[in-house]
Amino acid sequence: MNAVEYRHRSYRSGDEAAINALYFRITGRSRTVEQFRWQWLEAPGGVGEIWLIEAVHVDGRSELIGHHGIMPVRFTNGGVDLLFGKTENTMVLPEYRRKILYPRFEKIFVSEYESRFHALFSTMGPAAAVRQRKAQGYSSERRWMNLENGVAPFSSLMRFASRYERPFPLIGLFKRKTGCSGKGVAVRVLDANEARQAACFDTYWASARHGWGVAPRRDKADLAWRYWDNPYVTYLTLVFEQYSEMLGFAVVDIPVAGHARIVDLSFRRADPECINAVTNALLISLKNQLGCILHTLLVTDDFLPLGLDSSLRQHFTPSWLTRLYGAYHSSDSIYMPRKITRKGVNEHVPSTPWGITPIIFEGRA
Amino acid sequence: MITIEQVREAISAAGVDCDSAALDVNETFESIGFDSLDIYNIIIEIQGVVGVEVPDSDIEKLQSIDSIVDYFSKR
Repeated sequence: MNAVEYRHRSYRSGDEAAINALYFRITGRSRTVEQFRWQWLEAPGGVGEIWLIEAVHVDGRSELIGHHGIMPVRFTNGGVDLLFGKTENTMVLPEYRRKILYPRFEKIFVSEYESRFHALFSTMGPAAAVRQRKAQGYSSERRWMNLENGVAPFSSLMRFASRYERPFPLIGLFKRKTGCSGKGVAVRVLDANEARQAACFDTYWASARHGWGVAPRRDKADLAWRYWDNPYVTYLTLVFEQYSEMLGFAVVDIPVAGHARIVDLSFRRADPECINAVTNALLISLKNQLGCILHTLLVTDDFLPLGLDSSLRQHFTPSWLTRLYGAYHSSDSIYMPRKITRKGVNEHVPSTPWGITPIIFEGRA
Repeated sequence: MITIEQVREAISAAGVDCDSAALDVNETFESIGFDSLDIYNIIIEIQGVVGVEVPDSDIEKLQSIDSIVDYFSKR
């Protein structure tokens, strides 16, 4: 246990098992080598920044005691391609937290990888993690908003009860069909295989990106990696079309009966007509076919999908039980730390507004 | 060498949220409620005062005001 030296290095092929063992010891969550590879090596943004802290013991044996990771996430700002880095799996074994100065290591790691990215961000984290990020130059101006509404006491009860049950996939309960949901908007519900083959995604983001500012890329490769090849969650993809034009899409997860989570929502155009048509069609579909509680997270960035909140309240009425549940899950103080790097400053990347949906959790929220 | 007063000043300069003048010199930073970032900032300040970098393998020896004074008296 008494180390004579602490050293750091970047990931090498073959480290996966040791990193997963560290992850398990600290979080209690198991992760396969395949899941590690999907998350850290196979994303469209490239191989992640994986930095390791090792203790070298008196007998010469080295032990992995800490990890700091940055997942590359492809963004756009209008027509400009950007690469952002998301802090992930920052962890040190508890018995070593008093033995090393972790911030000293993170400072070294940041200096190694910062020039690769236009911006760095954390999705969310405990107050201590936000402080760590702030010390590295991140700002925490924007918060997460938790939107949750229900349509019936029964589904509210299901949602409430789900807190005490193990979630199970119930995507099959969604009646998969093509239909119309008001104002002539056709809705197609696709499973992962159908979405991978859907031609509508081939050119969608090339057109939609120009209507938005800073936002995660929704090129087909990004969507495939994030949703359709995701080893953790099975998603439904809803495509909204009008007069043969794809107006937008939503990605939905149904973790328990009667509960839908919107993990992504995108519109071809940033005009109110398009946004309203898509959000109304989405909400009517979910309400009619699932009769559910609806949940999503948005950041306080004043980007257009915030109008979703008023649409939600129009179609989904909070019941006393959802209000109770929501009171337990307020995200009013959950921040999203960000830092524009020198490279980002040179490209005039703003720190807000960003068009963020739960897309950046990769379904692991 | 560093004095108890200099350590208290370093704690204040590090921006740690506490009354450094009221700290018990023997109480560990952990029991006071300092986190790793606090301790990092304190040690950065102290390194600036004494002009000596503390290796990671010695960090565990710097867990209270008294232990910091003792550590640097032997360097």
